[in-house]
Amino acid sequence: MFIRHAFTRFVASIPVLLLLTLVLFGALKLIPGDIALVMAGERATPERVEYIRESLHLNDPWFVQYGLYLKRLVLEADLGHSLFHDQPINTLFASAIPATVELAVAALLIAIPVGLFLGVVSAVARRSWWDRFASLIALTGVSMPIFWLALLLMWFFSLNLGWLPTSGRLSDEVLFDPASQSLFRMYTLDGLYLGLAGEGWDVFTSAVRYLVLPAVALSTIPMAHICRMTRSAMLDVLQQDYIRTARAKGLSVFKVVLKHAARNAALPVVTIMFLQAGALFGGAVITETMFAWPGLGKLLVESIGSRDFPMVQSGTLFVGCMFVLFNLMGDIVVGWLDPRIKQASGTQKGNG
Amino acid sequence: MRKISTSLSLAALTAIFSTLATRPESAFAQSKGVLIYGRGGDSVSLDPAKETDGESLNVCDNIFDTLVQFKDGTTEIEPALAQRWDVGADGLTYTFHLRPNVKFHDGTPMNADAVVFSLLRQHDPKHEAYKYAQMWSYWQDMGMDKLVASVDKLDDKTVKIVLKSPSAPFLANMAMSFASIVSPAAVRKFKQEFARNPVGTGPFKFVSWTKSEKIVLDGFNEFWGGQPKLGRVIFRSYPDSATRLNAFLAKEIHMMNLPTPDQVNVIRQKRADAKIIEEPAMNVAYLAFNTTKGPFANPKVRQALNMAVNKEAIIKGVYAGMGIPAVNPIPPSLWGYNTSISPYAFNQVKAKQLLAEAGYPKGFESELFYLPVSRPYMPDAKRVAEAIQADFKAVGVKVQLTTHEWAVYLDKTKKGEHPMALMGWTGDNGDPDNFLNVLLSGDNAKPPASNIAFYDNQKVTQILRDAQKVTVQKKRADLYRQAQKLIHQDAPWIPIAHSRVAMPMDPKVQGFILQPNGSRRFFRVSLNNK
Repeated sequence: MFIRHAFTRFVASIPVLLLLTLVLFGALKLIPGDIALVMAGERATPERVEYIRESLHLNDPWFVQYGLYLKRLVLEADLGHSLFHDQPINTLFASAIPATVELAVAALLIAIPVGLFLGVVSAVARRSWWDRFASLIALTGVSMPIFWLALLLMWFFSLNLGWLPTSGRLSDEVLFDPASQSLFRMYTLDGLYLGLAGEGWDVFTSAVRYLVLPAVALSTIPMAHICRMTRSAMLDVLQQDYIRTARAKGLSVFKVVLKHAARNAALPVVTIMFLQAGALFGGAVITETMFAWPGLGKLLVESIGSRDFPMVQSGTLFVGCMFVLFNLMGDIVVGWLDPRIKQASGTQKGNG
Repeated sequence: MRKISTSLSLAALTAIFSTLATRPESAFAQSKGVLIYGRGGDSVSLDPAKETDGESLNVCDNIFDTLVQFKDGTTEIEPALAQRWDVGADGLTYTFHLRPNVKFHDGTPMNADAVVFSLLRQHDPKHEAYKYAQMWSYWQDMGMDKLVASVDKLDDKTVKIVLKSPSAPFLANMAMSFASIVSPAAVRKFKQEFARNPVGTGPFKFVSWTKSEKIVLDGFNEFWGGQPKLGRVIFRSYPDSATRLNAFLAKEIHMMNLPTPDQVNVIRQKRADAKIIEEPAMNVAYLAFNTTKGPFANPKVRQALNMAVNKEAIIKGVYAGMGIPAVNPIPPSLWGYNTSISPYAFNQVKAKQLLAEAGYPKGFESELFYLPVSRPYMPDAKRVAEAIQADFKAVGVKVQLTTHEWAVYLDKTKKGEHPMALMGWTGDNGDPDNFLNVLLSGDNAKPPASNIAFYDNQKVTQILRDAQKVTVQKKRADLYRQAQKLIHQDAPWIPIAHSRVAMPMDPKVQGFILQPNGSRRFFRVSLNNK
C-alpha cells in the first residue's frame, strides 16, 4: 500500500506544477507596459524591440503563447533562451545548479545534526539552561536577516580573525582552473577526487574554506526550524504513557530517547526537513548574492536586474519544482516511516 | 575543568584554521604579477560587438584593439591598429592604413580581411557571421547601419570605408569597443561561441571564464604595443557591494570597482594604505523643461528656475559628494567643452525677480517627473526631485512629483507628456555630438524624441549639423562651444550634475588611470611587490 501512497502523491503533484506554469505565465502578462520595451531599455532601437517581441511570440494570442511554452517545456525539456546571455537557459542552469546543490548540502549537513541535537537536548532537559540556550539559538536563527548575519560572519572570521576568506568559491592561488578542469562543478568534490587520486589536497582545503561561511549562514534558518520542531515533537512523545513505563522499567534516558521516542517523533521532523531542503535546493538568493556564490539564486537575481524575463520565468519554475519535488519526497518518506500509512488498506488514511 | 576544555577546543579550532590559512602560495602567483579586480557583476559575453554593458566591454577592451583608440585618460583619438588614415575631401571616404606585422592571439595575421570581416559581420545581413548575434546592438545604436555605405579591402594593409553622408563622429565611433577587430579564423571556428572564446590582438589574451565567478586573462607578450607588465588579470564578480568592500578590506582583491560614497569613507578609515582615485564620469544628469508647454515656453522662466536650484546641496546630500555641479550639457572631460560659460548662480531673489518679469510674480503650479530607477548619473532621483521641489517652492513655483514604471516613463517622456522631467545620459564615444546632437538638436525633437526638452533652436540645430560634416576637430570644437553658449542662454535644461567615479586600489597597483568612457585598461598597470 506504500507504493500506492507514493503513486497518488506523485500524481497529485502534476496539477500543482501545471498551475505553477500558468501562474508564472500569467504574472509575465501582468507586468505593466510593453514587456519588449521594458527588456530593451532606454536606448533600444525599434528593431531590437521588434526582435524581442518576435522571439517571445508576443504578437500571438496568449493561449498560443502558453501552448508553445508548455510544448517546449514538456516535450523538449527546453527551458527557453536567455535573451540577456544569448545562451540556452538549460546551459546556464547546468552551470549554476551544482553550486547551489553543493551549498545546500553543506548547509543541511550543519543544520540537520545541530538542529536535531539541540531539539532533543532541550526537550529532554526541558526548562534547563540547555533548553533556553537552544531556544535562543533557534530564535536568533529564524529572526536574524541573512544578509546581516553574512556580513557579521565576514567581519568576524575574515576581517578580524583572518581565518576564512570573505566570499567566492576557490582561491586564485590554487593551481586549478574550474572552467576547464572541474569535473563535478562542485569544487569540494573535485578537490576530494584530486586528493584521493594523489594530486594533492590543496583544491579540497581551499574549497572547504570558501564553503564554511556561506554554509553556516544558510544553515541557520533550517537549523532553527528543525530544532523547534524536534523539541515540540519530542516533548509530545516524552509525555506519553509508554515512555513513562519505559523509564519506570529503569531504562536510561539515552535509551528511551533513542529506542522509543525518536521514531515516533520523527514524522513531523522529517516533514520539516524536506520542506527546508526544498527551499534550499531552489537556490539561496541572499546567501549566494552576499557570498558571491554562483548558484541559481544569484543567477535569478541577476536576471531580474537585467530584465531577462524568460530566465526569471524558468528560474522561478525551477524553484517551484524543487519545492514540489522535495515535498513529494518528504511525503513518501513519511509514508514509509509511518506504519499507519504503510499498512492502510484504504486509499487515504494516514496523516500524522 | 570546564574552562580548560573550552579553551582547549578553541585552541584546536584555531590550529586547524590557521594551518589551512597558511598554505604556501602557488608558483605562478609569485613568478608573475597577478592583479585581481573586484567588480559588481559578471560579463554577459566577450564579443565586443554584441554587448553594450560595462562589465562585458571592460574585459573586451583588454583583449581587443580598434583601428583608432582614445588616448589614455582623454576622449582624443590616436592611432591603434591603423597607423594613419585619410579622409576624402567630401568627408565620405575614410582610408585606414593598417599597422604591419600584428598578430591575433591565435597566431593568425591581422590584415585588411580581418578588418572588413569584423565590421561587415555587424553590417551586412548577407555576411557569413551576421547570424551569430541576435542583434549587433551598438552598431545600430550608433546609427552605423544607416551611415556606412561600404567597407572594402584595397590591399592587404589598406581598408576603405565609404559613408552615405558626412559624419565627423564616425572616427570616434571607430574607437568604441564594438568596432574591435576580431580574429576571423576564431569566429569561423567558434561561431556563436566566439562570445565565450574571444580572440583579438590586445595586450591580454583570454584564458578562462568560470561563469559568475571569474574571468582570467594572461599578458600577451607579442602585443604590438609592447609587453604588458602584468602576468595575469583576474576579473572577479561580487554582486553585493558590501561583500566587495569586505573582500577589498581583507586584501583579497587589489581593486574595487564602483564603491558607494559611504564605502569610500569606510575604506579611508579602515584601509588607510589604500589609494583612491576619482574622476568625473562621462555623463550628465539634468532636468528637461518641456519647452513646448505653458510657462516653460518662455526662456525667462527657464533661466529663473535655473537660478532657483541649489546644485551644491544636491551633490552634497544626494550624491554624497561623488559628483560635480553641471554647467553645460556635456561633461568637462570632453573636448569642445566651453569653459568660458559661467553657470547660473544660485540666487533665489534674482530668480523671483525674473519670474515676475516673465509675468509670474506669484509663481505657478506644475509637475515634475522623476526617474523610478537608480542610474549611474543619478543615484536617487526621488531625493533630487524633492530637493528641486523645495527650491522651486522658495521662488513660488509649486511642483507636484510624479513617476511611472521605467518603460512607461521612457515612453511618456519621449512623447513629451511631461511639463518637466529628470533624465540623464551616459556618453558612448566621447564625441560632443553624442551628447548635444542626441539630446538637444531640433532634429531629435519629434516624438519619440531623444531631445525631451523638445528644444528647437534652428541656429543650434544648424551648428550641430555643420559640426557633423566638418572633419577638422579644432573647427568642430569651436562649433560645439558656440552651441553650448546658445543652449546656455536658452536654458532648455537645468544641468544638474556629472557623477564621479572612485576606484580604491591596493598601494601595490601602479599606473592605473580611469578613462572618461568608463573603460578599464590594464596594459600599463603593474604590481609593485616590495
